[in-house]
Amino acid sequence: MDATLTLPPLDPMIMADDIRSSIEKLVLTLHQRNGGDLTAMDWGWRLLEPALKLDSLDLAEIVVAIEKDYRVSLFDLPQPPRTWDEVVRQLEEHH
Amino acid sequence: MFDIAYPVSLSDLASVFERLDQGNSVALMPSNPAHRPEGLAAPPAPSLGVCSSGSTGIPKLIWRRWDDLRTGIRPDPKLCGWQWASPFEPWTFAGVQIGLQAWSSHGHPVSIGTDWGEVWTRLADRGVEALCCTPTYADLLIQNQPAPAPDWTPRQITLGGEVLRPATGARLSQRFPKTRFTVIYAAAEVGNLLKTHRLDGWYELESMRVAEWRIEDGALTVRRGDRWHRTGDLVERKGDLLRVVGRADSVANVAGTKVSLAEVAEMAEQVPGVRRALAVAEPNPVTGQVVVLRYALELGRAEPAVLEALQAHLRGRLRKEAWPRRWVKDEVGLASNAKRGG
Repeated sequence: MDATLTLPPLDPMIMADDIRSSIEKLVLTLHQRNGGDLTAMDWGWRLLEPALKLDSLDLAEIVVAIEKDYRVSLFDLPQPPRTWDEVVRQLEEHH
Repeated sequence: MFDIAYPVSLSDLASVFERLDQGNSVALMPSNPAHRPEGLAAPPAPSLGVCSSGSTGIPKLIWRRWDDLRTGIRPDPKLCGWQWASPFEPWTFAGVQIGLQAWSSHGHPVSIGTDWGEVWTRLADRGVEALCCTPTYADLLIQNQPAPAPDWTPRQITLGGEVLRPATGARLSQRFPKTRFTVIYAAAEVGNLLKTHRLDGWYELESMRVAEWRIEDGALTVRRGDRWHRTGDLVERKGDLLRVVGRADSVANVAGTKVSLAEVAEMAEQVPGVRRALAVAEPNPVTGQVVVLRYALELGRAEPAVLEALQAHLRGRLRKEAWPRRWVKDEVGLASNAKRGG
């Protein structure tokens, strides 16, 4: 059984709002693991926005979770996402 | 010139040893052509060619002088007539060592597989005295013990072929408290190097079979004859003790930082409830690679609690690059020649 259990599970059948909600949960889980106390994120933030307290290793973990649950490799797309809003849009588009 | 033999079981080796005793050289080959080495060179003297996957994974034939092999086995009257059970393939160095031990003490080698019910029946019904295998094989054997427990206690268990983790050693000694254990560290190119009766993964340095050795970049290098051989194994020294940590090439490169996969797996197996663990590298577009941990649970352990403890344990002790980013509950089974595999 393959499970990326550190992160909230992403349901591939969910609608756009739910994609946004799941990605937010996922990002905030790692943010809080790193000592942050945000309860919501600004979707215009860049992937490694300092307020999120994420480093590239955390981002790698998020990418692993997204690839597993959505079967989309964001960084292999012609235009990789720069912001979290672009992540959600691309997931909506390619899923 | 040399003969080629295709032994199927360990008992086929006796006729090979007799041909060597008559002054012939013999190369041992697996019956599957895909696993055979290429480019066979003629041996210098009566020698036995054994197959090794080597450090590259490409099969290669390694010639060992028959005289050296024979003198490496000391006949012991106490072992006379014993049955030696082993899953090691007969064309490998480990398989030859067992066949030779049985042959030189008028005993009988017994090839065993991974049909655990059948293996337990054979061991118990035949009253096999000795078991020679990897720690993972022995661990799987006791894990797959039928109920009620068969009445079988070997007099000797010899472990080799991979690193013995302390948790595995503890389980084995608990299951077979009256059995004598020997742990051997060997490399196909240089033969047996270290031997111990400890079950915590450490070897006494006084058991070292070569006169000269050194640690280079963390890996053990030994001299046999005029040549130095890199074993490719990472080792750690503590006073008069030495332990093998894992393969030097078993390394992930995470965001430019090298991570020892053996260290991650060993640390994971310290967590109560984790029976076995295997860390592997997986490509990742952000950091190049990430570590993925495959782990098997002790019977009857609840996964969520163990996983939580496992994550807390590793994140509290490993640097961040080494943290597993994917966790896969799985069975960590046996690969070729009954060694630990994915």
